[in-house]
Amino acid sequence: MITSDVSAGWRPATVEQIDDVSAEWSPTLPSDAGSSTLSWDTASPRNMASASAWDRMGNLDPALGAPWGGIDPKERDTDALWGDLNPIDGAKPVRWDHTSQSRDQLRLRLQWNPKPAQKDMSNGQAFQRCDEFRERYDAAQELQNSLYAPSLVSFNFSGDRYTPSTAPVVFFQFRYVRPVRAIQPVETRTQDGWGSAGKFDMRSALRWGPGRPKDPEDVDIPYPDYPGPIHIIPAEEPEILETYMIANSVSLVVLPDRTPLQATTMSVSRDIDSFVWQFTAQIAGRTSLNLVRPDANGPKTVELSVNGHVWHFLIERYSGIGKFPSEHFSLTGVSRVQLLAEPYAPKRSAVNTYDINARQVAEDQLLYTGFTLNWNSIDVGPPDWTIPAGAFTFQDLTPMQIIARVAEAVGAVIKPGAASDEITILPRYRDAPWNWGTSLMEKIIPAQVVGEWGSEWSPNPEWNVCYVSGTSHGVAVDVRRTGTAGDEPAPDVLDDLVTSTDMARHRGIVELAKGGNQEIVTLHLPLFPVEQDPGLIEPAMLCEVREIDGTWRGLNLSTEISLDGVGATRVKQTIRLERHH
Amino acid sequence: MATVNPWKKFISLLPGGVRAVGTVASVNATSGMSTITMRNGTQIAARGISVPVGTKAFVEDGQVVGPAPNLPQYDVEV
Repeated sequence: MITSDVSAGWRPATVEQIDDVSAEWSPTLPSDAGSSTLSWDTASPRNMASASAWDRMGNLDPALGAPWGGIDPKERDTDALWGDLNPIDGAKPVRWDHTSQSRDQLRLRLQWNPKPAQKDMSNGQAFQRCDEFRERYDAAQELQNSLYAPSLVSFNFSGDRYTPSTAPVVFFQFRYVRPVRAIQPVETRTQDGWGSAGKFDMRSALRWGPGRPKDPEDVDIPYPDYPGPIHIIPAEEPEILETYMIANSVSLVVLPDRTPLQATTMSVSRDIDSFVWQFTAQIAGRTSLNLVRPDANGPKTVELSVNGHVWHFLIERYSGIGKFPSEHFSLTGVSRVQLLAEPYAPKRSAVNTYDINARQVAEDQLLYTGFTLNWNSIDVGPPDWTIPAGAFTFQDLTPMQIIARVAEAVGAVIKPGAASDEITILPRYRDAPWNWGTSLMEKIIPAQVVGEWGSEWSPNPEWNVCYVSGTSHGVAVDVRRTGTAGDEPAPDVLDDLVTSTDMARHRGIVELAKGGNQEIVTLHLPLFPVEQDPGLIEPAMLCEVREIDGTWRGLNLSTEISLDGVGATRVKQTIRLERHH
Repeated sequence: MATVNPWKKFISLLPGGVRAVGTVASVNATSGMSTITMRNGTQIAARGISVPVGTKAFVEDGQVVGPAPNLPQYDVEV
């Protein structure tokens, strides 16, 4: 066994050339630092242009989106028609107030026993279920069976025939007694549906609002077959003659008996700002006066008829003067519309607690008075408008004052019915004066029928803008003449009732029409009969005057008809026209 | 709008009745006057201090009679 001592060699290894080795494993240098970092950077968005293909869709048809918007309230002005009713008889006492008094409290004692009598306690009504499932029986056969048909009854008695004796001791009756059957329902399977009616053609629902004119201005196309209402009757061409001869017919009678009155001189007049026709007459004697003197039934009504034009007048007062041996009396009368004003009508105070239309305000005042209102707010004007709650208040005013206030707010005038109990709200200027050249005229006055004329120059500044505003409610509107700078303002208009732009525009036209160079032309002409033009020229009518040196147009401001001479037969009509230069 | 109505003619002759709306620019409590800026920009001094500065006021014949609301404004050509 060879044993060698092998020792040493197990000492810890020395670190040789540690510097070189450590240099071998040093961290690698970023040799391509510049290029490799760039190549691994965030990818550039290469398809920017194609990414926008997935963007939000563009609004191609923005205009077509509007059909699904909110619906415009078309009948906004008329929605307040369905407001609450005003309590009219609030002051009247309710007569069914007190409960009935018991008079016989001591002796009479009413016994109220809701129980039925003892004998009827057991008579309950039989409510049985009807027979729904059994086979149906033949009612006709049952009826047939129940009929009693007496006949010879034969029995078999051991070969011997039974013969009923002539004086029978016993009778046989084989009557069929119908059983009481429950009711059998027929056709129980058929069920009628009572649901709500189906809604078809929802989109073609008819609008039942008031009719609207399609042509706001009257076009020059004649409609010979048009049977509908014509609100502005255009003027007929007057007949130009060498001589006009009119046999005037005048009559003055007391209604309702139509007793004639002896009158010598009369006059009838109205101007555009008043709501009644005024009437004065000189009457011949005491007999006629007694016929029209007011009595217990109130003032008398007379009827004046001149060449077919009829007026009704309430005789308000008379005056007399006497010097032996003669007496003279004069009468003063007004249209019956005066019954809506002082001293006949009661005064009222109110404030509107709901939205209300101007037209409703006027109609409310005429309720139970017998008078009717004409206000064509669509074809003729003035426009109707909504007055918000609380905007319209008045204190101690007569109905006519209230209506006049509404009319004045919109620039309208009140026309009384000459012979009827009605009032008409008319625009003061149906067309603005600067548009009269193209507007429809109601009367044509040729110079040939004008006997006398006069004129009066009344100028005003040439305003071209007007500020029309409400006070506590409403709108503020600057009404400006088209084509002007709006640098000449008319006095501001501040009215409680200016609550809509439409009516503010109408009021602004009236305010602007105050300005400018104006002339009041007085024309005297005969009062032609009804069927001949021009007949009676009423205030607020637009007239065309054909003078020798030119044609001009104007608004009639006042009409006066004087009747004098023997039998009051010299009739003269005097009109005053507002002419804008 | 000429008229031949005697009452309307008489009313138009009466003084006063000038009513306007303006904005209160300043209030002088000592003298009891307010400076009002009218719609066209001119300023007037009106008696009365009831309306605070910056709000609209009704002015009648040189008197501040009360506050005025701000109404919606429209322009209309006729």
